[in-house]
Amino acid sequence: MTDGLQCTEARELFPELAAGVAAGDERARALGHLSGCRECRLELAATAEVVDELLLLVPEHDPPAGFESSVLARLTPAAPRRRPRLRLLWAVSIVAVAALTASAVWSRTADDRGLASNYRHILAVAHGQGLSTAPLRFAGGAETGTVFVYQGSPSWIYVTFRPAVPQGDYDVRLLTRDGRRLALRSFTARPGGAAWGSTIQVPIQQIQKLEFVRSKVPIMTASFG
Amino acid sequence: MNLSDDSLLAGMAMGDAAAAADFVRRYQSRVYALALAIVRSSAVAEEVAQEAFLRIWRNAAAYDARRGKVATWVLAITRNLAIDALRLRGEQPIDPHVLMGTLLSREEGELRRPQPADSEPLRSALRALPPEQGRLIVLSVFYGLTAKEAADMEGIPLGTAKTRIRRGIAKLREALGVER
Repeated sequence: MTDGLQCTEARELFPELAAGVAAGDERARALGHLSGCRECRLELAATAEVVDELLLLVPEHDPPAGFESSVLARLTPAAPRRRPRLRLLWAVSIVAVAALTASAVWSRTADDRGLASNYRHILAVAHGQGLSTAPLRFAGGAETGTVFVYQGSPSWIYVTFRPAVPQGDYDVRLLTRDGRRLALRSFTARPGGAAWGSTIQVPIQQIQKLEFVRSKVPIMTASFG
Repeated sequence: MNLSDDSLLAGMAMGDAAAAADFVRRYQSRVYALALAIVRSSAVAEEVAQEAFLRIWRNAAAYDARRGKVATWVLAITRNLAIDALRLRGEQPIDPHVLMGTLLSREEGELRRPQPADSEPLRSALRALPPEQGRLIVLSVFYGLTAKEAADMEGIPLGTAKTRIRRGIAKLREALGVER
């Protein structure tokens, strides 16, 4: 944007905006300006970096004894601990699919050969044998997310949702080509975007359909070939 | 093998209890320290820190690496909860001098850990700020006060408060070498 006065006014608000304390009306005005001014977006990012670094300046201080176990009891009251090897593979795999998701988005304007190369690299990193995707759709056909299935050790399924997913709890079930119906971990859609994933015990070629169900009615479905 | 913050967070997003344990172990001293610096009560700080990890666990899937480091995301959540706790108890921010003293301290107390050397340029720049600029920045960044609230607390006009905050941030940015 070339209107210096507008930029000057907006930049006066950046310290408060970066600290998350700008009043509602000022925040709205600043965001309105930022939507059309790349220079100011960069300026705000630089200010926010200073604020972030300030928070990191507080010297570390050990919490009272028993803190860690109290936290973990609240986080995972019934979750079993995974074996370390499995956990490592799982984490690497999820990072890989997150990277592929980002790649898929960016690739809308990128060279297909670059995406193919990235795909091969991701499989190599995750020691995987195959990766497949399918669109997740509402009953009316509108697309609401993307499903990634990964064949490896372990195999897993991962879903990224678009913001329009109705909030609430969903049962998740997997239908296989030989007619089995497998219940997977449930999913809770919350504001601000969401993702969901689970390990799976069937070869990915056996997957016919993934369903997100509420009150026994499939709300979102992905079909695989 | 140490997994990256992003990997642990991804594990948490998938409900991996072991990833959560590693993550809590890695961040508990930083989260608790920030909460304590703001609320100045070990009992309240412990509650804030626990709530912060619960919030992180629930929202791990929503973390977007393109919008910042895991550490700053974690500490921003902690800061906001600590501010909420202060407001819930109807308390005004403690004297910002106390928190400024914590930020500038190079001493390592009984329960404090060695501080990373790369934080020293920012700490030096903060120390070099005129006190009136430093106080306002602390009130805004750590206690969540708007410029108007901070101006009222300092007994100065709003425009003066905004100018001091802006100039102070600009000096810190220069010290950090943050470029656009």
